[in-house]
Amino acid sequence: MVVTQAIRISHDHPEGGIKPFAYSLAIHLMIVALVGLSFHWSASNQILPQHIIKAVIVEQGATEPPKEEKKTEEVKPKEDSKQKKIEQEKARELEKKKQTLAEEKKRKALEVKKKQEAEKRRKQAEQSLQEMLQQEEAEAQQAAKAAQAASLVDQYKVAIRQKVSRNWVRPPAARSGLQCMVRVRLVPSGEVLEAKVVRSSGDTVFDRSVENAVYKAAPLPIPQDTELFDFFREIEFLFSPED
Amino acid sequence: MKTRLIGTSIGLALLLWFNNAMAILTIEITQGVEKGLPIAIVPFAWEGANKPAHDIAQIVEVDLVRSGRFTSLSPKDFLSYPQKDTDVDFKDWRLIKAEALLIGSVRELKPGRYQVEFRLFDVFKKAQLAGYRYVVGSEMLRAAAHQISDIVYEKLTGEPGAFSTRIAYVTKEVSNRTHIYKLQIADSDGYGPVTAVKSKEPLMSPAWSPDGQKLAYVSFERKRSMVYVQNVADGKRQMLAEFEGINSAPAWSPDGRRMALTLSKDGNAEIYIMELATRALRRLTRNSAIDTEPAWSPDGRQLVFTSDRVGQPQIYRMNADGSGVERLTFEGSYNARPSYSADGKTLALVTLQGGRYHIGTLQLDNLALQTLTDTQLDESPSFAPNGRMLLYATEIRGKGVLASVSADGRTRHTYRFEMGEVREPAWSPYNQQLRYKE
Repeated sequence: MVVTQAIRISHDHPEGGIKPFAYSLAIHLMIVALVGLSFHWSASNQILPQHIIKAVIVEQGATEPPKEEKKTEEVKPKEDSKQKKIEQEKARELEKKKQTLAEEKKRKALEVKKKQEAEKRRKQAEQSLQEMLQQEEAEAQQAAKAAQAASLVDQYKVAIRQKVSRNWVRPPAARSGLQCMVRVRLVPSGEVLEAKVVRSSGDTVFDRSVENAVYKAAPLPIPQDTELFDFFREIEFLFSPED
Repeated sequence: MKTRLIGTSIGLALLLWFNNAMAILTIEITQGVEKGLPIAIVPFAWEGANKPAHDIAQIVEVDLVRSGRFTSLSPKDFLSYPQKDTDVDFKDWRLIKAEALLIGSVRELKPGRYQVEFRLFDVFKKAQLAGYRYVVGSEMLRAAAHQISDIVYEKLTGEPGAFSTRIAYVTKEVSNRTHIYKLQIADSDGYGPVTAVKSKEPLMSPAWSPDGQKLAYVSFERKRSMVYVQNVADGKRQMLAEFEGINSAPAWSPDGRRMALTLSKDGNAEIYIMELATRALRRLTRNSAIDTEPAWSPDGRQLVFTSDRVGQPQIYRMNADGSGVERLTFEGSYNARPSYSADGKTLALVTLQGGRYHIGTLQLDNLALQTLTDTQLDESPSFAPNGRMLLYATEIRGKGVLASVSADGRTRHTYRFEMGEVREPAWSPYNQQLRYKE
């Protein structure tokens, strides 16, 4: 016979399990999305500096011709205006070079900063993933523990039911249909601190037989584990005779 | 942030789940043990010079155990022997798993006069369930003990006890090659038999009046069966039926005003009802077969009887005017000697099963037949007035003895008699003889 409350408990299990499961699913999806996003970001960051580098190469190539110009200067030293023009151009190019260098520096700094930021984000994502995994693991552990506890609780329940049944001297007047509910407070040794009828059968003798059964069955076989014992600190017995 | 929020809600869900799991566990108990309630009966304390011949605690113990509803714990296992309520340490009784504790004392007030006191405790509730004091002469000590048994029984089972009742039965002794038949009346435990009638010819079928003051019986003292009614108290008797042929099987109506009888004055054994005030007869059965052994339903509206109208004895029921005859037993080739339980729901009967006569019960709502005994030649069953036990006669080593069985068939007890054979027992209705004060 499975106990009504026990059924309720075991029914609660999947019910309570679906919600967290849905949550965790949602979170996992989120994490995947988040991680995917951050990868996307870091990818574009990596592509960008390559462009910059390429640009720099192009500009370096642009600085080479002035060297050729120098050669030309040596070839044609007397061409003053040309020289001037060349010098002006040179200055301009220098200016330009300086500018591009600065820009490059700026870009490089930006690039580093972006890289760092991406790194930071990735680290953050990784960290939250790690956290989620840990949480998930803890949750799984807890669920496993709960499942283990539930099965242990069931085992103890069977043992308790057997011991109380053995000690219940059922009065002949205890026909099927009569019911009596007793709430029992236990101490960790299994001794009965108190057994109280919380729902009377209306039959004094039946009620008394039921309380006596609980007291006589003491010490009840309850778990030594303190966490598990919490399930048994206060329990109820529904005496419901069957023919 | 979002993940943390969801994480929190997961934590919450988990917490909720655990909270549900932490709701009070309920364990359903549907089976118990079918045995007697364990009671510890402490030998009663004694104060006085002349110890009485009767051990009250022992009489109570035998009563309670015979009922099948109690298991008496052995005094050898007791951790203490309290005599007063202040001496009781409930822990001592919880340890040996007694559910009830009976203590008491007997004090001699003057020679032949005793004060008997007892207290009944609920061991686990640590509460007194009953406590009474009697002042009785030595001749009433056993009656006081049976009264205590009744109170203990009622407090612990919720049903009235039937120990302060009596039984009537017939004994047969052989001396000097002649038979001596006696109609005896004794306490419910068979103690203290008093001879009501003595005869060299058979005595049969004692039947108690509903008030327990009279006995009807069949006597062959005049070489043929006749029905007499006799006062229990003074032994005065009167002839009730001396018709031609058979006069047998008297049964009082529940109001005590009529007697059902089996008479053959009209040629065949038939059932009649006699108005006791006028002796007017009314015939109930008209059948070429034998109709006999009538018994009244507790409401007086119907009678059950034995008839061999189908060629073998079976039990039938009819209205008190003889109408509406219906057969009740269909199992086996022999069912006879019916009598009602006080609640009218069950019949006691004799049934032939596997070549042996056993005591059985028939549930009237579904006509289910249950065999209660496994001895042979069991006969004449009658219910205790509380319906929880049956008295009957059986044969052990060829000798008729009295026996009782609990209505569920679990507990059987054989009465010990020193003299002769015992037959035809009948359990009396309730009687209140003893007054008691708190």
